[in-house]
Amino acid sequence: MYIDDEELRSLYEVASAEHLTAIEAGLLQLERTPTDLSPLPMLLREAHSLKGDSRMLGVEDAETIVHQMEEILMAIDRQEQPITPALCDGLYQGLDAIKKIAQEAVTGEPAGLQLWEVIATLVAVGGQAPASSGLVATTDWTAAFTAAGIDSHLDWLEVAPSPALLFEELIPVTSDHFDFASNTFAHNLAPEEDTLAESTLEETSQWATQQASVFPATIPEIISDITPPEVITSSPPPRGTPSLTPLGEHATEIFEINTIRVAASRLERLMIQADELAVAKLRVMQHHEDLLTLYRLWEEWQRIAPIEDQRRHQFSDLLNQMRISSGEDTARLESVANDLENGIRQIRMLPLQTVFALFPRLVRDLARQQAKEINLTIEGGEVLADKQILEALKDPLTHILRNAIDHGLETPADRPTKSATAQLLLKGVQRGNQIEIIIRDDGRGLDLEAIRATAIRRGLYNSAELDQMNPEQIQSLIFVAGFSTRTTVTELSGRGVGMDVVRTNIEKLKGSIRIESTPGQGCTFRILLNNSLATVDALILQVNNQPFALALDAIETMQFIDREDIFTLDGKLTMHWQERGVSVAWLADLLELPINSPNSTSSLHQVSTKIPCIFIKIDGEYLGILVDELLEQQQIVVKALNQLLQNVRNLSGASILGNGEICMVLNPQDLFITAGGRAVSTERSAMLTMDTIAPPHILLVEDSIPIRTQVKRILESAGYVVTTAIDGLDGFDKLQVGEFAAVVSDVEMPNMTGLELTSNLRQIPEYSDLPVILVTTLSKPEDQQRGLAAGANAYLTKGNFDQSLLLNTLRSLVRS
Amino acid sequence: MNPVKIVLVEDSVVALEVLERLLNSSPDVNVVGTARDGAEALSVIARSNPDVICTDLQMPTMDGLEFTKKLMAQNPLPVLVISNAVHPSDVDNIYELMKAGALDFFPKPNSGSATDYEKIKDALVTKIKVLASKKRN
Repeated sequence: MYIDDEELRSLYEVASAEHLTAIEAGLLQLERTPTDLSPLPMLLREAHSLKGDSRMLGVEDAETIVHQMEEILMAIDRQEQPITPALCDGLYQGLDAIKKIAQEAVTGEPAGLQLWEVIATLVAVGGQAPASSGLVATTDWTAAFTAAGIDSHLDWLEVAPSPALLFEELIPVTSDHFDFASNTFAHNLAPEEDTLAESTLEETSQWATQQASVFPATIPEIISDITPPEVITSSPPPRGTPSLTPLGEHATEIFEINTIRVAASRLERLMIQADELAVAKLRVMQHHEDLLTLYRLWEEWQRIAPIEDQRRHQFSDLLNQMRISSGEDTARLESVANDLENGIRQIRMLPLQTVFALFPRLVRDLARQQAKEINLTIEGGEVLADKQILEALKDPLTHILRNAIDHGLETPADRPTKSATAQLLLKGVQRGNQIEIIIRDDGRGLDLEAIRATAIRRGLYNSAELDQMNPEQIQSLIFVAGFSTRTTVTELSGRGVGMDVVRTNIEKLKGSIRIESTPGQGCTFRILLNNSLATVDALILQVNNQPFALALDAIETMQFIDREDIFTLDGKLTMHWQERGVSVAWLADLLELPINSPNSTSSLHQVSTKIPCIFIKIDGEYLGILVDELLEQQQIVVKALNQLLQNVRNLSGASILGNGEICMVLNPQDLFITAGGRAVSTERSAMLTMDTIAPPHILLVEDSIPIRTQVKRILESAGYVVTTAIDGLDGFDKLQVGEFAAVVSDVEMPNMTGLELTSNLRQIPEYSDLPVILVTTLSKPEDQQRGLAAGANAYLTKGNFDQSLLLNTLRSLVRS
Repeated sequence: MNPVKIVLVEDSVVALEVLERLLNSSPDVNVVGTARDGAEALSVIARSNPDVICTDLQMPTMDGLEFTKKLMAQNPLPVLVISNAVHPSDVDNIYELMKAGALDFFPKPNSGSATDYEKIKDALVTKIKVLASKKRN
């Protein structure tokens, strides 16, 4: 079911979401303190409104489910239905189903659920309710439904007239009957209303009973249900009850609407207009500058060639007047435009509660699933944050909370020294221009030993390196890509995204995240965010005489490089940078811009010498981007692209520069993909890291103890695991017992030389491809020739030995 | 004849929009004001001088019953209750409302075919016109 009318659709979207949120909050409250039934009137009212809205717009499935939920709520209200976790489960499932149906109604995406399953669940959980006189027909229906077997009676469910619908059909009929009351209304207003109402009441009920006999057999039951005797005999309420407060009380209240609901898209449009205004403002300011220049020129001219002339006086006066008023107007325009822009930005601020409200339900469901008792406290929901921040916070917060429940909080049995109910706090605090979000649990805290063990197993660090780290540094390892301390994947946290994604998301918001953990006492995450995403620090660069902006966050460094530094590897432009091979690409190529032939000697000159290169880093991968010129660094306001351009690769938005020029904002992630880099997605790179990170094992064969120790140290600090052998024979033996990625060997050794070792290895098929690097003092070309003839992959001489050469060689050989 | 001036009282924006469209599509009636609950309705009515009031039953702050009582006490006008009287508990309300002075009832329209829509509109407008003739001048 999809609502065709756009306006009604958006009204339903907002209204249904509000009702569902209110119902969920009410149910959570009810479940927490089942003895306090005070949320029920609100729950009933919200459910009623939701049902009414759904019915009006033809969202029938939602109407049917809410109706069933209402029955349960009313039974609770009459204290006939105990509030049990199972009952709440059923009601939450009902809510989830309605959410999906509402989603379908506003987006057209199929909800993909079986109505009867939801209804059956609700009937089942509410089944304990004893039938009440007022609900005979309904409970009969549900009982029959259950008794007759759900599967075989689905069709019946669709066609069976519910008593509610029948009753509704009665209403217009009965109301016609009240017309006589209308006739007498004019003569008998307020003073006689009691008698009037009473006669009407009696007439109606008599009429209803008469009519009832005419209707088919099922109807009289309903009629008697809906007109219980006490209604007929009840007397009108006495005068002077609180509901009949004296006149003036409300009449003197001032009518005031305190809040207005506005669609976010309207605010976006307003924001765009404000940006346009900002551009217009800049241009007007430029005109004012021109006017000032004109005025100065004129004054100068007057001094140089003073001529007394009436027209020159007039001109002079007018120019001066324009200069003054233009200055005033520009200043005024500037302040108003700025205020307007800030004002609209302020409107985009929403309370944190908007996102916090999603979690009580999550925590409740997980706690029940894992048989844990958790009390979630939410504080600071009133703190305001930009809409964009709220949207981006949902996933990281969900993940941290899931982790806390999955890994941190214990079951009551595992908390002998602590209260059985675990405490979980979600708190927002305003700190000047920043907001801090605190997630604190009183669970077991982070297990440092497990983190160390995982770091070693994942090959992220060796134990010597970990010994150097303080507890905080070890804790923060959980943010490293590909890290997870659980050996089995759980439904909750092990979804292939880890804390590294949380950190990435937070960093995208220009925020930071910290952990404080005390073993046995709990763990606290602190997220610190800038509360305004409006401006971005960006580098403005130029390609083909066109400016582009690149957010500074993504930039590792910038430098001028020589054309000669760039070489081709596997068909890709590469250069050595910080001891590694880094892909480089011309921005003009990535953006598929036409090649500009140099149009001036200066640009020709530039092309021929140094090229500005920007190194960007994503998930530990680097890419060098070659551009024509680096212009400046400035704060820009990034505007989302028009829908038509939204999927254009490499661009994430547009901005207007100080000079009014439009400038495209580059998307570093996309540039990586276009350049064929590996940063396809955070998840994928995390997977890659996990799979490939196991450190390569190197066999080092060297007879001199000082050199052996030295080289071993160099290799280990580069992240390799090293096994040493004292000569060729020893090396050959050791090679048989371990798995090695490469052999680094001396040439001149007792028992078996490096050359003999190499040629022996090459005769065994298993080792035919094993990289062998010979390091020797024999530096004559013929020595080198002999080494390569023996089958070595590389021949390095100790005379020009430097560690980067060895490591680069090793890296290129081992990686391929 | 001038169109009948109506004030609509309804807490659901969805229902409000549907009813307003329904009523304004008829030349005989004109919605001169809307309110989201009884309290708001009283001040809207004071400003817009309507002929007929159409009100929902269940509303926050001040519901249809209390609103009708207040209206009858301070500024009696014909009241038409437009409501989904679905639950037995609402029946009590309807009788209470009649005692308080509401004149007529009408079920909330649900979405149906265009013909149904026209029928509902005609029925509703007819009722409103009858009620308007009951207004004390």
